[in-house]
Amino acid sequence: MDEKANQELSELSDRELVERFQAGDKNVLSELLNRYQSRIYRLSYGILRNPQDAEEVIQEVFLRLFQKLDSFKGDSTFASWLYRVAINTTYMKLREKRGADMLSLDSVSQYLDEQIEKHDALDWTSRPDDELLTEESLKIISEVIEQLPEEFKTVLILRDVEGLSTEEVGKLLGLTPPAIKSRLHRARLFLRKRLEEFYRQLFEGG
Amino acid sequence: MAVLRCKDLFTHIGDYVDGEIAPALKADIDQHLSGCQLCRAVVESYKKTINLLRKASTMEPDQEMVKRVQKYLSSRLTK
Repeated sequence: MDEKANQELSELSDRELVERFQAGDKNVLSELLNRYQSRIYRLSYGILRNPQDAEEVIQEVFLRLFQKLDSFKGDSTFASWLYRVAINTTYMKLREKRGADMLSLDSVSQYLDEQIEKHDALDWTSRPDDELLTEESLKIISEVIEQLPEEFKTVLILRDVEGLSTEEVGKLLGLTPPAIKSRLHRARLFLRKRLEEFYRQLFEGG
Repeated sequence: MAVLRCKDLFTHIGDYVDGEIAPALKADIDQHLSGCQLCRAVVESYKKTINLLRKASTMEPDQEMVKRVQKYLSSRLTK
């Protein structure tokens, strides 16, 4: 396809692209891939923490998308539909690879009841992000996400990384807004606690 | 609401940081924060955690991966 045709496709809405596909124009597939592959990659990598697995998820998601797009009826938005396929595909991959190090729901739930510790609050938050995002802290973030139960990590990625609203995530996962908020809050507290412990060690030596 | 305690702040901190909170409760929390250094630090660390997670998760598929995915899909879709 020439540049002009690509430019024209990039200006179309998702719905228009789907309609074109359903009318027989297969050229729209590359535009859909360009538009969504980064989001699907961040979601699947965010949950699986492995680039090869995330790549396989992208392949499976888009293959399924292209095979099923003819029957897409538009009951939900295209993006929601795609996210749902991506979440299901990622979960299947996660279950294939699930290790023994994932936390139970109970062990995460304790963070909901966590008391504010009465130590002198360590002022690590005033340090610049570049100083805080070290190789070690990135590893901790990755480990924490890996350990979270799947719905917690999915909510955390969709809300805080992808920026979807509470309502959107609720619809995707079939959970109520309070259930989404509760999982998000506990996941954040769990991550916060681990980061705070790390920075206390790093900046105060204990 | 009666005078807000540190424990109450912890319950509402997510909604507060996300801006998904009733104006009256937000006002109570703001008032509490203005006089509680510990809770201010907790709110800051909560916000910073979200910010660091976001920054640590901005990965994109590299160009080689994109090419492999396109090649895979082309091969499967032309069968």
